[in-house]
Amino acid sequence: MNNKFSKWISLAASLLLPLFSIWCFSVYAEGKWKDTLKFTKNWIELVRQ
Amino acid sequence: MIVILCKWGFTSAFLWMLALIAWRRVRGIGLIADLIGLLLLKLLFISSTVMLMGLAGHLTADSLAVLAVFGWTGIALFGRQDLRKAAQRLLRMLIVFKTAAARRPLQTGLLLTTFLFLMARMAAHVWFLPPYIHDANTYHLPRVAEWVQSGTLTVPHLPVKRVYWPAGFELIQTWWAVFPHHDAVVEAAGVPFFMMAIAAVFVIGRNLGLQRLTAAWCSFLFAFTPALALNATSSKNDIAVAALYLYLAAIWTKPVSRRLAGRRWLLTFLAVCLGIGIKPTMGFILPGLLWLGFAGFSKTDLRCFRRFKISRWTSALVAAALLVGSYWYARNWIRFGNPFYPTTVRAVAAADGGGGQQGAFSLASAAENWQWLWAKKIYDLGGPCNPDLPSMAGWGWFVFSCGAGCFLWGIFVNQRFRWTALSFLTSLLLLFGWVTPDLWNMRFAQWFPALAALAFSVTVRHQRLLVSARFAMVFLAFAATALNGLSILGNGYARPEEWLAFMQIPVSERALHLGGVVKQKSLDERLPAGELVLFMAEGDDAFYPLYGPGFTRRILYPDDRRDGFAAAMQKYGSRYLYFPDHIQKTSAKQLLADDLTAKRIEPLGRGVYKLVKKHSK
Repeated sequence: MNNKFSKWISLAASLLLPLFSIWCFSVYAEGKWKDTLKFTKNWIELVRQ
Repeated sequence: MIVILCKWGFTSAFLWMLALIAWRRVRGIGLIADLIGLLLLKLLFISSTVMLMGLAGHLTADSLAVLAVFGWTGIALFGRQDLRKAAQRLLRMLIVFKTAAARRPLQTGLLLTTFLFLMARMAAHVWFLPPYIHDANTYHLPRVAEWVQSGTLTVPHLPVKRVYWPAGFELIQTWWAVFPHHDAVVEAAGVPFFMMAIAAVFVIGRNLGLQRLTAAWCSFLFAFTPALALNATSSKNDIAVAALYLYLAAIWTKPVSRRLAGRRWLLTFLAVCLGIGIKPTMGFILPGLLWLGFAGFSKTDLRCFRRFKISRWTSALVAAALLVGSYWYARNWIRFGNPFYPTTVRAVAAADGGGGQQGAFSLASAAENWQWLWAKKIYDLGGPCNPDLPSMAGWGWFVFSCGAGCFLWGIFVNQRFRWTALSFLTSLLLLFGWVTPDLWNMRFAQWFPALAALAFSVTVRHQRLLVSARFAMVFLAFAATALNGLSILGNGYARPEEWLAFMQIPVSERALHLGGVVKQKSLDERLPAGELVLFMAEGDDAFYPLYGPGFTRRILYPDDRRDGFAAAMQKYGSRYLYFPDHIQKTSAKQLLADDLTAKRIEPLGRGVYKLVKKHSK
């Protein structure tokens, strides 16, 4: 019973972990994406010059 | 240039040899922990040598080279055997590396490429950018400039009292500036600490049960944290405290044998002293590590004191550590009756401000800092990350996306990780309680993101995690770290055109433009090298660029200017005054106007004034 229970817990956690992490990534990206894009563009410009 | 490099290389080689000989007596804790120990000893020897030479008034490249000649002679006469044995041990360690690398050529290649990318980034920042951080230009680097100019550990005469705070990191910065008599590579002082920090995370990872490769990638996940990587070359001292804290965590996450217990105590003492001498924040966060006692402490750690004997080497190391750790506090205590001057330290009190910091543990500050972190700073908003971390944590993409989930998983599955996490969290809370809630204080917590990298590694190696979830997490971590890599390419301040401008200036002239208005060249044209220049400032200005990149100008802030600047110039023995346009102080502007009207001084342009001859002594 315990083994079965822990198996289900692991399965649920395994599924939740990437989903939760991707959600966190999207939350961070919402504010930071513009900065990163602008920054990358600037650097590409610098390398070109 | 060749002579400078020879002197530098010769003296540095001597200190490496000395560190290697001492290292024989403290090694044994583990391969990488031992290598960090060697680096720690080298940094301790650099600090104590610079300090002793400064106290003796001989802090010059020539004197250091002469000291090295005596040192090499001593090693040749008395230390050859020790050196040979230590070198053989080091060689054996490197062979272990080579063997491990040969077994996994692809992974080794990838790790090496990542490391080289980070080093290339550091080299570009050190070489192409002049020191640009406000605090570094205000009171850190002026100390280095004064020490290099005067050859003693004199305190610069500036209108900033923070100049009396501990300057252990400046001892190491001075090492990078005294030989070339220039600040071209002064920012490199933080790079050894950066390497120490990432190596320490590798050791913690190994002690948590991770395999070598996983621990290595774990340390690189941490290495790309914007707060850490940006501060490695920023001339600020927080990277050093972070590295020493992580090293202490690394050597205390696992019990050691009785034979090594004494050595571990000694290494702990050396790292703590070095850290306290660099910044008091080391003292704030240190008690948090006590939790690691549950993971790495055993009875043998106390039994080793039963047969306690101190060798000459141990005494010398303890003395050197005590010197670099306590000198600043002793000096302030003697001079001002307060070791922490200008901050007044009380045990526990309400946060009511002080000289630069609140100087007391305050629950209100802890709560405010904690709330500020989770409500705002962790999102890193408000522009690209920069080493000052204004209103941001600088923990970056990886910590935010992979940190929380993996942290929970790690807590459940790994007991040692649990104690490590508790230690780090306690340290963070202690830090928050001790420091004034302000926009920039997350600089003091650069060590904390290591927890996210460790949690991630513990999680992805756990057998219960589904293979598909493991792949998804690794992919996400790779993407987040790559984005962190983009964030640390620049410094968060300089725009591409400014980078280009700096790259086009010869390194000998590369310096920050004062207030963005006056260029070094215009100062060089008006101020003869070696002249004492009085300068006016609003208080917390960036004074350092006034010294010039080669420390060619001597500067002094005139406290006594009651009778005008001309009188002050006569009093302090100076013929030049620098009064930048941005000064708004009405009384000072009036004094300047009076001196100009009476023709006691004449303007040379760009904020530079010269004492008229008939008024000179």
